[in-house]
Amino acid sequence: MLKTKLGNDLLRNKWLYIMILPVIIYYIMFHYVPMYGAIIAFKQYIPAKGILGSDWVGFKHFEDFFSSIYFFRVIKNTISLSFFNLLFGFPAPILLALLLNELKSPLFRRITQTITYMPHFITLVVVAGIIRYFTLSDGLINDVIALFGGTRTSFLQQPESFRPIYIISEIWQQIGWGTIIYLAAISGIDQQQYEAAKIDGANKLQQIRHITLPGILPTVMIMLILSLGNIMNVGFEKIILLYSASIYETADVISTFVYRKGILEFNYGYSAAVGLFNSVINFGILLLANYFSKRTSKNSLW
Amino acid sequence: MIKTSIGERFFDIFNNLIMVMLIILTLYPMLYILFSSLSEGNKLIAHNGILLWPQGFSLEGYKAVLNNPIILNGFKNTFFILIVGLTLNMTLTSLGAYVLSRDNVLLKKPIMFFIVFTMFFQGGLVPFFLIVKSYGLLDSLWSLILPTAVSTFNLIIMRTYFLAIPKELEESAFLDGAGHFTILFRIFIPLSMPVVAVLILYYGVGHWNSWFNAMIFLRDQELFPIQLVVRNIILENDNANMIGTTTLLQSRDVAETLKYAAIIVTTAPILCLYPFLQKYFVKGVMVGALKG
Amino acid sequence: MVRRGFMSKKLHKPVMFLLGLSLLAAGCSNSSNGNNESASSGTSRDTQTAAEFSYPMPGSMELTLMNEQLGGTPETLPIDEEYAKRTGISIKHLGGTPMTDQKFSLLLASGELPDIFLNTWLQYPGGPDRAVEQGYILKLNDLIDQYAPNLKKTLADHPEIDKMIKTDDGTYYAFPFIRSETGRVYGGPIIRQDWLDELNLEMPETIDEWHTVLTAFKEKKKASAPVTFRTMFLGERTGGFAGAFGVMGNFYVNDGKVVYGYLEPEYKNYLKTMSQWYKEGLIDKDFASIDAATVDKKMSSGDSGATLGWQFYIEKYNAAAQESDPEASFVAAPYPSAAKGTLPEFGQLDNAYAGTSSAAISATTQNPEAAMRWLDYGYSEEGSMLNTFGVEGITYKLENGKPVYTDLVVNNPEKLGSDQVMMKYSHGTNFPMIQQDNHLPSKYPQTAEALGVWKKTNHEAHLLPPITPTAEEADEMSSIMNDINALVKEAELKIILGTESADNYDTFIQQMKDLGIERVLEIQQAAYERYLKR
Repeated sequence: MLKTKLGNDLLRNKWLYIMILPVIIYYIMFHYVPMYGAIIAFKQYIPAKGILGSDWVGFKHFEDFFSSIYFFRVIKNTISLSFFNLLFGFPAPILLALLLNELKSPLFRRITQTITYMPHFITLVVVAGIIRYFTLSDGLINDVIALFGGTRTSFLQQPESFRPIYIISEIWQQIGWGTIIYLAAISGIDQQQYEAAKIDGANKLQQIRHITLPGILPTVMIMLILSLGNIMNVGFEKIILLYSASIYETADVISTFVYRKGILEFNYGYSAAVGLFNSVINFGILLLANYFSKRTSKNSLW
Repeated sequence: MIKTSIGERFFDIFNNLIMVMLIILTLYPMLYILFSSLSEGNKLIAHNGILLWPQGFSLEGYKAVLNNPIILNGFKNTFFILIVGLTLNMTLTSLGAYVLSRDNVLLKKPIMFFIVFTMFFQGGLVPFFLIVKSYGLLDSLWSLILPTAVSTFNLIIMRTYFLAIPKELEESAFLDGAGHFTILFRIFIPLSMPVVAVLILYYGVGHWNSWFNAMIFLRDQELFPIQLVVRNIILENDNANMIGTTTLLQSRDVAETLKYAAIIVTTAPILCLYPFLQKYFVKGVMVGALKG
Repeated sequence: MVRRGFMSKKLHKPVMFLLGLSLLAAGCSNSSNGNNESASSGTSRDTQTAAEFSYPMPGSMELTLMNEQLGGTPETLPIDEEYAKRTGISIKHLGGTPMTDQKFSLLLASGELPDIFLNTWLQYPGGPDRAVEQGYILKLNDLIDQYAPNLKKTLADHPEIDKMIKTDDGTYYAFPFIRSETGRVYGGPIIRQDWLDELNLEMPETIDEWHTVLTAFKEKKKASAPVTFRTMFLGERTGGFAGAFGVMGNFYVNDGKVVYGYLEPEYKNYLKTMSQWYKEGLIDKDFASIDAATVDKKMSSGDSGATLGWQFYIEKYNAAAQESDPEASFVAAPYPSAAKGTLPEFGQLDNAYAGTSSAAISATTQNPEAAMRWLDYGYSEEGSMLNTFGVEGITYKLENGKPVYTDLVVNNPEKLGSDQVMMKYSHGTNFPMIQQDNHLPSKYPQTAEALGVWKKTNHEAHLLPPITPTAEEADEMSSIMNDINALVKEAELKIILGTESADNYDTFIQQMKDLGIERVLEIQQAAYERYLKR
């Protein structure tokens, strides 16, 4: 009996390994083979000499980055922007998914879903154009403020309003798209549980708290872990399109700083060095987050 | 009972109100783009304030985009990438997610770590390019399909969903003599239609919107996917604007509306995908299967 | 010599010699396709050298070409066909890749450069010498002697061009795009003439007069942003209002010394004035954060009456504003000066050789001669006529030896603008050649007048020529300038917006010095001196 079970197990695992083999081959071919390129973070990369042939410079690029007078500012700005974006932007689609789920009319629900996910598809250039246009001192937002007796301000020129603008527009653009995964998770919850709860007299809020939320918790935790592991990555495209030197104080982040130096001046080694620095921190945070999630909610990446 | 129903009604009204507000907030910018695309360029430039209707009416922007000789090819290439790419994406991702959601696989943890590691550490663009080149994929649509065959993020999402599927199902299937492939494709996938729909959307939109890989891997413009074609139309237009002359064959004011027309032309088809997938997001798809 | 009449005075000399030398080449191509009768009149004189080579080049070769304009593969135009017919060499266009694009590094990494590559080789990391030394592009010195008589003649006759296009050690790396005198100026102040007329104001010439005019725009025309512009016009790309103070926010030359405008004491005065204007509401409240589209809207809807911009904006604003206000008229205003009757030190002026669109030949090309011949054609008289005026009989006819545009150009049946037609039949700009003024009629006379107005500055005396620091110097400079750029731009805007007092500017200067600006000036000075010794 025991022997056949063991035999079954081995047999089963053999097939499992065969199943995952193509995936592993993919990762080796397209991710691990090119990984040698990361060494340009320690090299003065010159295309003509190739990656392997370029001269080693040790930690020069790292030192350059650390010794910039703006090093602490861009680190601080990156982390603050990421943190607040996570704080407000992460729960938003979950909340919307819960509310959508409670809509009575299926048609209205579908319409809302379809419309809220549209902004995800607008290219950043146009999104930034709209943001700039609406935040002008005689733009729509200021018109509303003036209507209520407030004073007009030129939002995009004030360091203190950059983060709210960035985060609000981010939520606006991504909230509908973000709900998709939670809606899928909600549809996976056994409908019988709700029936039972209703019989027990549980109200909507109680149903959400005791059935829906626990049902989507694994998805939420995994998404949170992955987001935390992304904290040092704030994309430069949107910020470049929105910022000006007058708000560098809050808007200049690692990626924009590197963009100005690394990409515009073809300093690939420098970009790679900063990228590596970010990755190490991100990966560290991910490992920590994963550990805590495993301890507290039993959800883990591995 | 009465108390809850009042509370519930109040909640419903409140909820509907929020949704209507959200619709207005997200719809207006879309309308702004639509109105701009239908406006006359000069009138659009001179218009200052909220746009509630097209300024004048002109389809020149659309003509400029759709008259491009390679735009049809672009759609064709994108559809090819979408169909072949999605098939490969979904197959590999479900295989990986299935194996990595099993309990007693000894190497599961190391493999997972091996995969997640690539989310953080990459070789960079130049070696990636050189490797793809060395596989002989340059100037072929496969260069847009194979290098993006699996998205780690999507793999993790699917795995998370698979983990929630009750173990009893799998065990009873085994007792009936089913193999892993049967369990995956006959039980897990049908049970996971919501997440399959999500991944089709994620991968599909990813293929639809991508142009960067096409830009670096393809030289022959007969192979360009739609987004690259349209991006080039917009860029040429911008360049022409920089040096003070607009693109050939277009009158100058078209430059203003072309960009918006291009967004409409390229997003409309993919927006249509969503309603088809939406039906998989309804409540309780798992119920019947679980009982059986 | 019959063509003298139509040539602008500035271009007189270069065109005259071109005329002479290109007849060499022109004669033979005439005999084969006979499409340029005007040139054939002079052929008999100089046929002796042409006997060695004549266009079209036999062998019907095809070369690949890239330029630096992002976008797809351009469609084949009549000018391309004409060029192929005349030179005997056809071109396969592979699209564009600017040097700042990531794709450029991939091209280098894959080693697959096109035969001819139009790019800004001056900006190649480590300088153009490096590109040659690393084996990407050919050193052209010997090849020019062998295959490029037209370019060689041009350089011999124009030592100032010769000096600009070679490196410190005398290497030629590309066929240059030399801008015409008028092509070097393309931006400056733009103002609403109809408002000035209505308010009985003279065209402002000094800072004080500008203050008066802008105040009047604000008070009498209720302009919410009397003058609006994007920050790059503040003093970096154009002298803007800074020119009146004798400074500009960039590197330039003062009496043989390279200086950095931001370090000059006058820069502080300039910022003080701008800050004052901003406070008075004369400068757009949002100027630090607006994009080009917003400037367009404000200008064409009457929210603003003046801006700093490029030449073609004049046409754009006139066309858009006249939709609602037929009286609207935008014209170029002179760069403001310190006192009436004096010229401002800075306006906007590029080097005749700005480095852009210069054509290098790939080191891996199979047929360097064909590439040389194809490029050299652009410097011949015949090629120059083609690049400037298009194809005779189609875009122009010769009347009394002067080219006169046909109806296809000036009165296009498909309602295309004249410049749009010319783009199909000629190479007006961004092409390796000696650019000439094509006197193309523009829709609004204000557009054509602009260059003459903006040209009136002392900018020429301060222009930093295309110097080439060594690779090590370039590295060092970029590492220092990265922080300094951020520092000055931030300081400048904060002072104008009033969040920082102008008196604090001195501390910023000190910070720049701490960051090593003096070392940068030293490097630039050395490179400048090497340049002078070329």
